Amino acid sequence: MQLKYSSILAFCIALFSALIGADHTQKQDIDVDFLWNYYQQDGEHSAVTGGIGTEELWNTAPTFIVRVPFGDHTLTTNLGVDAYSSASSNNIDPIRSGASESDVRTHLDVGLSVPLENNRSVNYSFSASTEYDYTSIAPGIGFAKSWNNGNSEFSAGLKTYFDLIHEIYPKELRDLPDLESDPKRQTYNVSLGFSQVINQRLQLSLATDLVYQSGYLSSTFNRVYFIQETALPGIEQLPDKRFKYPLGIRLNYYVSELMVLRFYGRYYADDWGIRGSTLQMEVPLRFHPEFTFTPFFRFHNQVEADYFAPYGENDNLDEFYTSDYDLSGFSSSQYGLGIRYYPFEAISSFGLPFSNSRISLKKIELRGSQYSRDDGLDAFNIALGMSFTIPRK
Amino acid sequence: MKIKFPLILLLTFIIMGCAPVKPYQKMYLNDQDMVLGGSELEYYDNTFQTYREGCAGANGGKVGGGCGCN
Repeated sequence: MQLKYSSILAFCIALFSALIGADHTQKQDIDVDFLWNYYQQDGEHSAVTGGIGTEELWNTAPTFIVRVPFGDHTLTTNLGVDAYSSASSNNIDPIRSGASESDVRTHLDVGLSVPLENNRSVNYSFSASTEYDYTSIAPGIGFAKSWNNGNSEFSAGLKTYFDLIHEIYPKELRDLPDLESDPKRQTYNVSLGFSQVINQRLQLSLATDLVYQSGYLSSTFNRVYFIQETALPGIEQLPDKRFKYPLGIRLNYYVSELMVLRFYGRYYADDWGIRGSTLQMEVPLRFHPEFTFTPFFRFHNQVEADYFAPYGENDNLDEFYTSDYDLSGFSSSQYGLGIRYYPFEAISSFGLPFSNSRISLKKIELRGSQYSRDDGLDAFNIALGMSFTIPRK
Repeated sequence: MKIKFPLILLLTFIIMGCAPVKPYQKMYLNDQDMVLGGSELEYYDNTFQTYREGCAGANGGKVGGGCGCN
């Protein structure tokens, strides 16, 4: 508790000091991005019903991102809402009737980037989110340094998440003794990154997130059915500690003004036994100077967690068990297309109320994809982005 | 282990073979599609992948905290 409030206080002091020290005489344009996404999925292995049943869900998420320069400082604010409806969530309490369970998650992220001498910079961040069963606050700080004419850059960051879970147990299990009340979760993330220009057309970056989680890491509403015949199912039980260590690499190659090759690869491992490999390829194609088409493909393969077993195959004598298929072994593929329209002149402009300024629409992007897991989960995702500029006089 | 050592060796040779690029030679590297990171719209892909897969991180997206994800 003391660490959480101390880190929040330290962030506020750092943010206030940086804003006071910024140059407020220069009036640079404000950038505003509006993003919107729609996601839907269905499958046959809902964790709420022990690894069987519908996983039907849809989610829509509008987000506003505002970047305000103060001289050479930049303040970025990200405010978004996730609204979802889930058929499986309705099965947490099957006695209730009605439509699928729905919820809204609201999140706010604030960041301040401050350049320093000798090609260094520091950034401060603070995030907060809340939904029906989850509340989180997360302060963070980062540092970056470049050298060799900007051809090499190293970055490091620390972000901590203090989460409070509002327990929602399956209806039939709510009277059991020894249930966790007001479970909490902490996540500590150390991010390290290194980027290097190889030549005039090729550059690469390496990144890792060393993540340590502690606290209640299970889901209170996930049922587990056992090999043994029991009157009631169990509740998912996972260790109260988890250490993750993924390593990612990006390679971007400029082939010509018509084409760029973007490659991403990741190897993931954690101490729950999950091992994963991810490969993604994007190919931005520019047949017209104002339009870019980006087909992409992603493949992911993972080995299951040590504690996973399908419906009815867990042993109630084990200390930990889950039938959450997100932690199972599977392969997934995703393919899609992105389209960007970014003309030299603004697409459109319109006046702001009570102001002489005009806001300009600079860019429109659309990205859609189909995602499939070999355990039967299918998902579709489409996202729209619109970028605006507001001049300041 | 078999794949890690050759990969590390390959990365080392790539980095050692770097040719210094002056700022006025970076017209290709400064192209918006050459940015070393995902686009803003890719954030939504990273989000649902974090929820639906047991793996996360090393891509600028969620790592497991702040949500009911893995």
